[in-house]
Amino acid sequence: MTFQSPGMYIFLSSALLLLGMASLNRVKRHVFLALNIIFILLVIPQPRLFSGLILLAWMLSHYLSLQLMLRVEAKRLVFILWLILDLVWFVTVKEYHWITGSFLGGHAFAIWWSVLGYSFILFRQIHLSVHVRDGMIKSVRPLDYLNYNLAFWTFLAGPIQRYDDFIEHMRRFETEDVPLQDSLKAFNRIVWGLIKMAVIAPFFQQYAVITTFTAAPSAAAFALFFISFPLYLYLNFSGYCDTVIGVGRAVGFRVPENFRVPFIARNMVDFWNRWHISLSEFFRDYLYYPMMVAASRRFNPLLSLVGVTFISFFLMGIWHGNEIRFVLFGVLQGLGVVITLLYGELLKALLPKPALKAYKNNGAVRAAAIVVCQCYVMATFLVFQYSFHDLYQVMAVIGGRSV
Amino acid sequence: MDMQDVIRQLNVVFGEVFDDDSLVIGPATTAEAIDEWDSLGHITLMLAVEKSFKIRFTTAEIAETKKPGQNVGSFARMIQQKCGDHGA
Repeated sequence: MTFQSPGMYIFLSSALLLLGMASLNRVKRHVFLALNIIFILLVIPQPRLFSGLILLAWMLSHYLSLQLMLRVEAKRLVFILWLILDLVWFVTVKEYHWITGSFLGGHAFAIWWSVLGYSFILFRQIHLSVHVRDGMIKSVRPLDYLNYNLAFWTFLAGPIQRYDDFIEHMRRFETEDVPLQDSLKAFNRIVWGLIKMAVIAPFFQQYAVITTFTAAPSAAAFALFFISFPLYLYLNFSGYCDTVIGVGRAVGFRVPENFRVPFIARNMVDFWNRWHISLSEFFRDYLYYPMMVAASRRFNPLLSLVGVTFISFFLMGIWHGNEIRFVLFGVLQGLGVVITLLYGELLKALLPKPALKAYKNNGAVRAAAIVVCQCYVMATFLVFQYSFHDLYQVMAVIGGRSV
Repeated sequence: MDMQDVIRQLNVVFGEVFDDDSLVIGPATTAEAIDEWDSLGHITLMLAVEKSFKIRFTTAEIAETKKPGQNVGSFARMIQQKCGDHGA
């Protein structure tokens, strides 16, 4: 069952109805867990029971590592051991053959099943483990842990929510009634998300296919092709997010926002503050910040900035998929962010503060910056969308050769 | 170290990091109110605060201070607690 199948909407409608009916607080939390388990059994691959048990075993191992960290002094050691095991598990399950091939013998460890939503559970687990290790989270109850990791509205593709935020909203969701106005807003959000996913996104999808033209295209046809995949991706993913945010709101639960008009970003830093926000924040908080702090204590700040930014986006690229093109996508994002940061530092060095402010607020500068940034973003999405073979064909089309 | 002392010392650090002697921060000041307090500014600020107060922030604490809705007041309380923990 996919997110856009009729069965999904029957499930979501039934879930909203049941959660609305479960007025007793403690019952609500258990009803939510039951719905989460039903949802997962509907979406995970066959044989469902086996896949479900594997998922449960994996989560249990993480939960036990959390409980151990809460009880022992050597939290850092437990954290490192868990992280190593979990990352080995991740690259094996997600079939990163270009990584596992070198030490696991190619397909020898290729596992025939995969767990949907695995990447997003991994993020939630890392977040929880870091905060337990650092003493910011003092207890994790089994029911909360299961609901946090398996919440049906964010299980498949996020947004990634912080544990303390989830618990706070869970408390409100259990104890506070949803005002009528909020319900209407939630309904609007769900409908708008569905329109984006089912109507507008497919319009652009049809133009995002390399075979739509086989000879040198007109400028207009190429422009449509160039913008279509990023727009399709945005409309499809943000439409999904609108729907899950709306479903959460309908029962009084706030799911974090994941997009903020990314196509008006004026540079690559701005873009990643607007695009897949919960992912950007995760990489910023759990990779970029700790690496930058550690590197800045030892190395030249500029060197640290360049190195850490590239490593962060390289890893973000790997996370996006198990093919080399996703790594290249990450590196290109990193390059864009590094250029933005270095340009910003250069401007700071060259211009006095009032001139810098005037430069940033200048309408023509802003418009030019948006155009340059968006062209770069869309060019990098070509790498994201197409295999190297298809990219060669794109290049051939740009060059005016038939494909 | 009481809250007033922490805020006073933070004002000096913020002025140096963001190169603005006229900058005045209080418990209600948020990252959104200071233009230069972006991701890069946050790293510089964290390192400067660590040096000034002779403390070390953990990964979770650095992430926590950049969370939406966090302000200088909650940051100062965290510093105060850490100074207490380290006997500064």
